[in-house]
Amino acid sequence: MAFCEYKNVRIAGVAAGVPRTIASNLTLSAERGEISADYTPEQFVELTGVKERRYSDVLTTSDLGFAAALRLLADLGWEKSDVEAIIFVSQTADYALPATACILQDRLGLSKECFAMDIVLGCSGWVYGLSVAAAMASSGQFKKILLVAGDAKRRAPQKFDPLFGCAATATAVEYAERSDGFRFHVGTDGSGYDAIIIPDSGSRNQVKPESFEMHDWEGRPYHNMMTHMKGMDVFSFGITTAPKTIKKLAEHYAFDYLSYDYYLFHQANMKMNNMIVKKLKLDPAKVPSEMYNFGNTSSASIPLLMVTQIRDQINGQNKKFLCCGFGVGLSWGTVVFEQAIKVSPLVEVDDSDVNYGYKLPEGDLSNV
Amino acid sequence: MSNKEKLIDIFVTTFGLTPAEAEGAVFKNTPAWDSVGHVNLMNAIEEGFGISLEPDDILDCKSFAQAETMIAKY
Repeated sequence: MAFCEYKNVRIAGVAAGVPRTIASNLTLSAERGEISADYTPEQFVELTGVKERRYSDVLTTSDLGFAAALRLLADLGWEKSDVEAIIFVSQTADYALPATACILQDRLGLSKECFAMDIVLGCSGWVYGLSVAAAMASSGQFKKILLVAGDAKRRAPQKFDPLFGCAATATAVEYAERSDGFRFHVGTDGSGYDAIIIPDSGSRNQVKPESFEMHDWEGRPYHNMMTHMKGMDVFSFGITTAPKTIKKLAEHYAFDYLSYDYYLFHQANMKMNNMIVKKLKLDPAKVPSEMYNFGNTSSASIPLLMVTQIRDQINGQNKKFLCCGFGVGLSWGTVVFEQAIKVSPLVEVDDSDVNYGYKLPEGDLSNV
Repeated sequence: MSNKEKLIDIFVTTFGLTPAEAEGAVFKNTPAWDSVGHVNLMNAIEEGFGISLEPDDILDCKSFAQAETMIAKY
């Protein structure tokens, strides 16, 4: 069953954390292999819509999510001891194991009586994570849940990735009697698993020296620890799937999808998103974009829109939202809700703010 | 200007081809026809012909000949 509805649950607030460092795409070089030789940097910006993005080779997704969650807890006045579950949605976990949600439980000072788990999804991840949190909270068995979603520092150095930015978001989900809650449509097509893939570093293809050997991929040098994307397949998937999932949800629950205040779409590529808007005949003024300044931030992109693009218009005000995420998996999800959400200001994190993580024991490691 | 001439113009402008190359253009043999090029082509066809293409037609259009057949449907 791809449709689900959960009542008596709402989003209390959202926050987002990004690295303070801005990387400009206007200085990209084809000679250095940073963009395809087919484009100048200006053409790349014009074609993709990504002029700059936030970048750090130090801060992990959990570092940014930690900063966002701290801010959100403070702004909502939630006691840490009241948070009964934390869900971490990301493809850039701190470690292969343990789950990053466990690390965040401790780092945030949440109760040890806390449900904690990771969900490994990308562009559809916030919608999926929200559906899990909503299902848990709607019965009232979990009263307060933190959903941390985003992607940042990669598993291997990947300095030039001009479409993607680093960001993590925190979403506070709570049990709320008489709230209309959420309506979801979600779907999956694993036959397209290799349309967006990092070939090496899982157990199927373990990391080996050859994983870092460069090869040509769509006109740019890549190694097998980098994200490989079949552009045409991803474009085809995006422009067909997003309109279909939105229309399916509207048809299933018999509502007019044109009646919403804001349409928050995963930020994949400006041209692709413009075509989706055109296909659905939406008013572009109701479809904010953050591609220009933040790029594609994976599962952070939808709540990041709330924080960076429409905070003044929605903060604490009752609004109707239609949100749609689609991408790696292939996986997609749409959710609609009408709620007043508290939106925290953007949290910018310095590389020097991080002093956390596993350290090798000192001394003789020759027998380790 | 006929629909075919208009379509040739769009291929020439979008992909930097000669008119003769445009008529024989196929996705896999045209370097500028990548995913972004495809979006630009579809947008140019919609604007040039004043039509709104269905997503499935956009997916299926992989050559000049297919684009010509597609436009004839609208």
